[in-house]
Amino acid sequence: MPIGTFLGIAFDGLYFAALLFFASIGLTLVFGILNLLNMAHAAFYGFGAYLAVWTLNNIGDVTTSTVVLLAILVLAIPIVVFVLSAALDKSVFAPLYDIEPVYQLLATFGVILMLDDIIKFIWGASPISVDAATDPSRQLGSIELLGSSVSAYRSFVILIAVLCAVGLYLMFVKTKLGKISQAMSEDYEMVQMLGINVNRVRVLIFSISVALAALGGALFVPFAVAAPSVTLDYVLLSFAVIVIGGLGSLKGVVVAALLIGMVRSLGIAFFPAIELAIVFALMAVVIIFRPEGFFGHRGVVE
Amino acid sequence: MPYKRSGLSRRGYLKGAAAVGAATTLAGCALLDDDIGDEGDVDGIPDEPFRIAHLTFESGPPAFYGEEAANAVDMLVDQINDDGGLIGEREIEIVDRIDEDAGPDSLISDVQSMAQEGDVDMMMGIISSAHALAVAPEANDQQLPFLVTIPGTYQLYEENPDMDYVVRTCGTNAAGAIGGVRMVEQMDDVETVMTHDHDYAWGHDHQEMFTSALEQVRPDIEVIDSRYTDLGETDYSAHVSAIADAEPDLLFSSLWGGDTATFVSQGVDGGMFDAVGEALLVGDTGAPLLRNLGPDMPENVWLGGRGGYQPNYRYDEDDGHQAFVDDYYDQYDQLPGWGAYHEWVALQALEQGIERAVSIIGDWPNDEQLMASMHDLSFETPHGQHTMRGPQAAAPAVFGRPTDDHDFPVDHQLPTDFEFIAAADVNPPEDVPTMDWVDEIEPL
Repeated sequence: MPIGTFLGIAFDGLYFAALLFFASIGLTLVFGILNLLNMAHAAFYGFGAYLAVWTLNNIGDVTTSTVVLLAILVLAIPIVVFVLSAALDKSVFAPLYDIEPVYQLLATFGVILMLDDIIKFIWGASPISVDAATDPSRQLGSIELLGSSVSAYRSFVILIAVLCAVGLYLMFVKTKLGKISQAMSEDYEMVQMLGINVNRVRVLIFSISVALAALGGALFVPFAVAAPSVTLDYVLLSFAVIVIGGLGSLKGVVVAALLIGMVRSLGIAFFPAIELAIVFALMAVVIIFRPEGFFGHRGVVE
Repeated sequence: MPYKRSGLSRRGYLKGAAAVGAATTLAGCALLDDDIGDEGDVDGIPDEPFRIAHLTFESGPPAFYGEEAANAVDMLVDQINDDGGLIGEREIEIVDRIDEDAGPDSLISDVQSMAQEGDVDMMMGIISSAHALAVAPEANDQQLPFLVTIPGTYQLYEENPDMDYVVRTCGTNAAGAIGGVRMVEQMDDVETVMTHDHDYAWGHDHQEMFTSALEQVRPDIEVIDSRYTDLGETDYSAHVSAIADAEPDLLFSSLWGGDTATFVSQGVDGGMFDAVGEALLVGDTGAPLLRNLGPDMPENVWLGGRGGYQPNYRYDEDDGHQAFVDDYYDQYDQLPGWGAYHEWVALQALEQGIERAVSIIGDWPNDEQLMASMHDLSFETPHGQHTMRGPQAAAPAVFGRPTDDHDFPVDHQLPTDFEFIAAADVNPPEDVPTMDWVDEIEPL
């Protein structure tokens, strides 16, 4: 295989892995730390995508500066969603923390359907793409990398994913919030009895998680289109990621996202007809031989 | 007058007369009547408007065409009514607009309730071929006239040959797929081909027609890979890389609607169009795709498919076309695309059919006569005479290259350097099944 081909496949795999990382990292954190299996998590990925496409398509009269557009995607949208999800945590999700996982699954599945319909109600069911004038993916064009031409924008998305993964790791090992969160994942009641305001930590972790999903959606949309199918697609894929990586593990999400990204990319290159089947076959194999996933039962950053 | 209504050819007129005659014994008697054809003398024109239920995608990816289809129908119905209505006497009313996105089961129950209530004189529209295959036989069973305007599946009449209440005014997908083959037939420097289509009947049918026919007319060309993606796919990047990497001389695709816009845009981003020799996009592409892509359309692309439905195609030569494009632009600030053209052609067929029926029978046609009157019609459209063979049209194929160099008041590209391939070269002869013909197709 020529080196250019290999690089192309690897780049697509990395890019897809970056998107999967955003869609599933919060799912695993919320489960690992807060013990909530939030099926609706990746729906916020779709919500971020719609919020981004709407913002980009309405900002054309104000500015078309690439830096501003990227800042909107990377900062403004996650912050808006962060605030919004704090409110959601206190209202919709608060009662769900203390119930059985099965009911959590059912209840949060209901939340997906609600979010889906809200998206359709606001933005309609037709796919929406970003206007060419305010599309950072088109503005940035492509760059030469090791002799092949790759999309500058998608490289930027991969970079942001790496920064987020490193940032989260540092947050867990260096900051007080991170240390409390790790302790909560091991023994929730103990932390509560130490006099820590666990509710405040809970809201913070939940909102960070949801904001990361929205960030993924926002970064996804300039290169693709916002369509209602995005929500459910990524709900399924994010579950594949955490099953393979192990529920509640940051490292697991990174490894599983990379694995699925690469497998899918190779699958499309060589066996395009069965691309999805390969991904889910991989998940089945992991479930059979390692039901807890690669890094299950080990804490968030172990 | 909203657009030019060309006279019928004598042959078409007689064939139509025969069709209507076959449908009703009354017609035979009426033809002997000396008073026929004078609109003022027609008896029995119902007082209430002619009620149409319009089926189209108001949501989902195919709303790309559905929105235009609805726009065109609203505009043209107003224009027809401003002239007094059908044959200048009976206004049209769009009594309902049904969203195809509801799916075939829901559409079938809509058909049943419309037939039972009797509150609709005719259904028109529909975009999805899968929906057409489900809905048309049901409408026929319910004896509810159904003017099918956009779906191109060749199976519609091959699987349901005896539908007296169903007429289709668009060409079949053979025109797009085989039109593509006729284009490649002329290309001397093509040795390798890749295909990329939707992973359902429409895409697989195109792939099969295209590759089978290509093997017949250019056995020297090798189809190196055939790819499929789901309807509504959002990320084509890995396919784009694979295609770019294989560097085929030609990329053929029947992706349509919003998907073709996403695919092309990601293809541009991934350098796919630099790697392929030519791309041939036959999924009913043209103005709406170019509008969606802004300035990004690569140059080595042929756009088009069944019918010459491009706003700048024979615009100066055809007054009717010019009026349609200008009116549409005035009203909607956009140039009409595929969805709009198909509805325009359908409403012309309806007007001319009723005119013909009334002139023959001297009375407003009943449902069966109404549909029979559109059989074998022929009337002027941008691609010349649009010809119905029995109940369905045989369309030519028209392809063009995108260009910035045009005088239209829009900031996107439009096709140019048009290639026209006659209907006879892209459709099977009457009564020959499409795939049988494709398997033995002759080079031009």
